[in-house]
Amino acid sequence: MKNVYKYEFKTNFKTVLIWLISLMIVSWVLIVFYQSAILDIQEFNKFLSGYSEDLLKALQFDFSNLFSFENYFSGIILYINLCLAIEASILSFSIFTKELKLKLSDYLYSKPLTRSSILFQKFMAGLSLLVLEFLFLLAFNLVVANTLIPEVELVKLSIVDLSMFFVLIVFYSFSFFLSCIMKNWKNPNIRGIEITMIFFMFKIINNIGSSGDFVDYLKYISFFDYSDPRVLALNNFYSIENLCLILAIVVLSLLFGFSIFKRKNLQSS
Amino acid sequence: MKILRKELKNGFKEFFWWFIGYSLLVFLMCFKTSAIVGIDGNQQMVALLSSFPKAFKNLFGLGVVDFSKVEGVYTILFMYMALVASFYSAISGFNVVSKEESMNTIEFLYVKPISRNRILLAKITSGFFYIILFSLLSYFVVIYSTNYIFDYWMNDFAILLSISLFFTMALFYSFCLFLSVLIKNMKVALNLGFASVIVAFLLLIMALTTEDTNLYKWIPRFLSPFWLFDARGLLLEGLSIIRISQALSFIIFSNAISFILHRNRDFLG
Repeated sequence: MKNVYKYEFKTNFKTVLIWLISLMIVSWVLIVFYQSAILDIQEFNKFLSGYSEDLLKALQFDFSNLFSFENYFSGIILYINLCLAIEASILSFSIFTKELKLKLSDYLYSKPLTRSSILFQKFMAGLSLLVLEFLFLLAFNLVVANTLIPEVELVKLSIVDLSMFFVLIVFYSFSFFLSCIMKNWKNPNIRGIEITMIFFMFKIINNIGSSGDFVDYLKYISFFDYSDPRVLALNNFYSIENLCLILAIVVLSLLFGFSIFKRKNLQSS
Repeated sequence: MKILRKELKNGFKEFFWWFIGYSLLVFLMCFKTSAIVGIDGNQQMVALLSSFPKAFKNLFGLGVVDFSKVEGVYTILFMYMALVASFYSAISGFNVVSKEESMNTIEFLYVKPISRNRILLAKITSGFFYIILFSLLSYFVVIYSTNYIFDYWMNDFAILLSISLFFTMALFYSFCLFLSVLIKNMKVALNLGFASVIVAFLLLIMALTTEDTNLYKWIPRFLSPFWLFDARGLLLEGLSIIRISQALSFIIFSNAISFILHRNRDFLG
């Protein structure tokens, strides 16, 4: 019963491992960089205490934790999230469209298994790989930050890190949905990257500068904004609205994906 | 000549959509930063910003670049513009060989009485044509966006920006072409290529934040194409011959190697 699961887990293990190791190196480098800037930051905090509070309020900047580690990491984790989103969509496309592309669907789907159970096993294989990756990354971040940075708040950091998980889940299930509805895309992996980049562009726009009138609504377009690490570092937790949006996307894409794929006419050789 | 015409026709659609997205990005980013430009009157703010920790000051260009001018704002925007454009060029670099291979049309093409070198030459020519077109049109986008939103003609700096955009894109194009010819497993090549774009971007951030005397500064400087054509350096020093020759030598070298590898490659039919 679990053969499909095992097979998919094994074949995709290597790519996930490559991403995991490279992301570990990246986050290690970023944490070490912050460690080297700690002295400067302490000096700045001393300098800042000379200012009157009214002035700081007038500048509309929260200086109290502007240079805290969590804040720094929440700014930089955006790029790690981009990596993870690309990885999740490539993984999802490669799991769900491999048979269609190689024209092997008749071998797989003629086995005595229902379509939805095959699809479910495949889905679970990818999901468990991603969850494992997230757990390793989280543990790695926490351990490195704990040893290198003296006054880190681990709970806060893990809340910021949780945004990685949501990005993974959202992009994984959304590309699952896309791979179910598409009929004959020429190069699904690259399409996945293009879709991720569209969302990322909106995220960049949201990150830059002040808020405008109509530009404010753009934050509902980008999946990256649903679990914005900057907001997390400020508020310490997710807003209910964003959690609902994430849940809605995941559930809807799963529902539609499964129901469409059940009735899909699979192309055979 | 026929192949070239076909490639140009095939590449147009992708180019068109990416360019539309890119121009939208530039316009929206400009719109969002319009509030920042022209706040130089606030002396207290300037004093406060100039006392930021050194690493962060370097990262955001505070005290290095004048943010009351449009050029200063564009040094920040260009980081993201280059990131998006290099994703486009990385994808088109991958498509050169891998598209034929994944669509199983490679057998039809390579049995034609044309040498492999001619085929690759035609494909690379069309790729570089689109890269040049992209950077050329990006020049118009930049000057029109500044004119429309800031009411300011930024002619000289826009030329520099589009030249450096061309080199950044060409570097990633050649690198991804090289990767896709070198590595047999397409999935690994794809993951590696896109990871390299993001890692190069993170290296730029590292290069911007470390001190001049730091030895580590030289590693990201030589590795990251984004650093070679960073807008801040362009604004302060103009185009440097050393960086251009460094980039050109890399482009020529990797293209030459790709030609040799491509001649000896055993394609999966």
